[in-house]
Amino acid sequence: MMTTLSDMRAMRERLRAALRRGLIAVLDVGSAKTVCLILEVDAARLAAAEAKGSAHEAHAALRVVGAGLTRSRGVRLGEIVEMEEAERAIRTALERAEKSAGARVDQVIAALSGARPRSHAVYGEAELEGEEVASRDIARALAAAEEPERREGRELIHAMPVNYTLDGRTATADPRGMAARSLGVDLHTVSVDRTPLRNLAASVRRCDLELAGVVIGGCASGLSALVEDEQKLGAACIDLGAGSTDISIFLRGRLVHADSARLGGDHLTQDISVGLSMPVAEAERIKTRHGGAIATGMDERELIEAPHLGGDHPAERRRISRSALIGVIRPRLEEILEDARRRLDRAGFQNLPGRRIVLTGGGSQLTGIEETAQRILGRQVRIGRPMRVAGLPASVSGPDCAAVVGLALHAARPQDEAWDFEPAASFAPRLRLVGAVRWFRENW
Amino acid sequence: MRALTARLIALKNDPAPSRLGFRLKRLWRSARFRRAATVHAPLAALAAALAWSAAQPDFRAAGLAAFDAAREAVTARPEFAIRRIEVRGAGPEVTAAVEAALAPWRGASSLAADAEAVRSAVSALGAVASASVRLSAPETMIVTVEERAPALVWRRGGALSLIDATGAEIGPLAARAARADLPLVAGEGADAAAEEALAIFAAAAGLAPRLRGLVRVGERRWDAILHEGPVIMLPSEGAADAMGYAAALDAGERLTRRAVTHVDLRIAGRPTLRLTPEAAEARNETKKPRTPGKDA
Repeated sequence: MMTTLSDMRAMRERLRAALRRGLIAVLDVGSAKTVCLILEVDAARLAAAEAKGSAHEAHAALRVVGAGLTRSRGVRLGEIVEMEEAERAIRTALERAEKSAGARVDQVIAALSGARPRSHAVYGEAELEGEEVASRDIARALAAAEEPERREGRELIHAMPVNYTLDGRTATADPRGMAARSLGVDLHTVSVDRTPLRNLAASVRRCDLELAGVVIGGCASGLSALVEDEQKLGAACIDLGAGSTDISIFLRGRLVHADSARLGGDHLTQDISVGLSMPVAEAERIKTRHGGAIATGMDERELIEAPHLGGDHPAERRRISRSALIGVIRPRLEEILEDARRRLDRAGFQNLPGRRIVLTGGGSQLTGIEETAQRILGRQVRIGRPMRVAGLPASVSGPDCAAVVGLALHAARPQDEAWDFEPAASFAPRLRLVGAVRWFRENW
Repeated sequence: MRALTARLIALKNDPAPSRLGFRLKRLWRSARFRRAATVHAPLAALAAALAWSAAQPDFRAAGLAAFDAAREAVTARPEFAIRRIEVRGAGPEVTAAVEAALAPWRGASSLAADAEAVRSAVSALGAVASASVRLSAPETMIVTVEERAPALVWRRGGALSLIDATGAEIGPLAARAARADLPLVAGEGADAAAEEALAIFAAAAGLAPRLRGLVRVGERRWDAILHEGPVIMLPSEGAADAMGYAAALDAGERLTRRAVTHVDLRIAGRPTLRLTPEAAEARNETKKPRTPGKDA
């Protein structure tokens, strides 16, 4: 069905091996910052949680033992544009995380932001071999799904079974063991540009790390910023990043849509820098310190030190009012949110049962953004802080680190993917021997 | 806001580690490598160095000498010296003898003291049957002694000595009168047959008051010497029984009161008497054949 199937399967194997060993890293290479967390996984507890099917217990088996955060370099609009620089940033973050963890990790799950993701829904159906649905039947139904049309240079990174139908009726999340004659699977596939994906994989490899999974950034943010009920009833997560705005829609606990706009907080900074003719670093500082979305009467009187571009002479020091700053920020913010609304509309977000929208990411820390978003998106909006994970330091528990925390949650409880369903009986004896050898190599 | 400021500072100041440094640090963090570098490699180097130096005779000798010197320095410390020797289970004379025998250990290091050597030194004293040695803190060596009980007086040439029931020599005796209560044996090898001698003395019964002593003949058998009586020559085997037989003969026949110089019991079932010359003369007279030549 897909060319990268074996890669995906290999990554899953690495993930499982890392979870058995109990140490894995997650990495988010964003436009503004690169964050690396090192997770300690209680394998026994995780297995118990898996048997129970409880997400909460799976997350409780996690513990963050190291965190490294550094400024990103060589990343624009969420994509790596300078390999050497991005690699340096990853090295720095990983080095810090490993130092605080006091351990070495070799497997990493990375988030891919930007890269123009596109969601497709495909459907596959198969007659059951036996009376009850088995894992093999799901694999056959998935194999029967037609491949979504793909342009050249695109790569599939997610293919998640989101819904099962048994004899035409919607079934539970896990149809295994149900009696039926035919099984249908709705498959949600996400394809991305190949180049950013390859660049991410290469930069990770150049840091001597093994990739144990790639998750689309929006999905990772949604996993941590949306609470479990929101994920079940249907909700959208808008991650206002520095270089890109990642959108994900969840329904019944599964990712059903992912999108990304090439607009973000860096554009706000750029507007401030250009509009008020300030150095970029100064513009960034003023944005985070004094920025806002809605101006009030008070803001007219609040004056901010705003140095001129290229002029550091004391005589040229000037002050601008906060409302002038907001006046620059606001149109761009509205543009970003309107773009997000357009993308949500195109995905058919109105038709979902629950229509909650959660804002997260660094941009969501802007004062007054809730009201603006509410006005533009037309419904109740809340700011989503990432879920608490044991041992998470305060510096990475803000909304701007939702993606990396989401990756941690994903590590403990990966979403089902099409390549997880492999009929075990189809393994040839030789392959089983190879598997045994590999098992020994990985575990001893 | 403070967290944000701190973050800004952290973000501004980030020297990226060089690739080599990064690799080395990661290598160092891998548990296996670190164990190899901190435990296995030093141990291997140490073992190799030891093996190499042990293979060099000069090094080896110098090392052993240094080791001995170090051990010497420790054992010679005054804290380890034996200052008191306590002898238990012995009479005053034996105690004095034992203490004299242990004189070399007085002041010696208790670490260097060899219990076996002390025991053999004490056991070398005739009066000591067995000895046990232990060290007791502080500075005391306790020697528990079991004395030998004298059973016989042994005369060899002109010298008298005491031996016990097993024949072990206890020590010299100045005069026979000092231990008149003990029976007397004489002759080479008498000590080896002390047990038999004691059995003979026990079997003497009625002869006992007149029995002056036993003489070992040819390190093989005994002669019993009676006061004013014949010599009783005992066999090498069953000497005690033979002595009992002699005592019975004496009780019945007053054998020893007769004119006999030797009672020869060496051949079982055929006691032979040697008469005094006068008695033999008298006997020859009486036993002279009346019809000479008949036997010839």
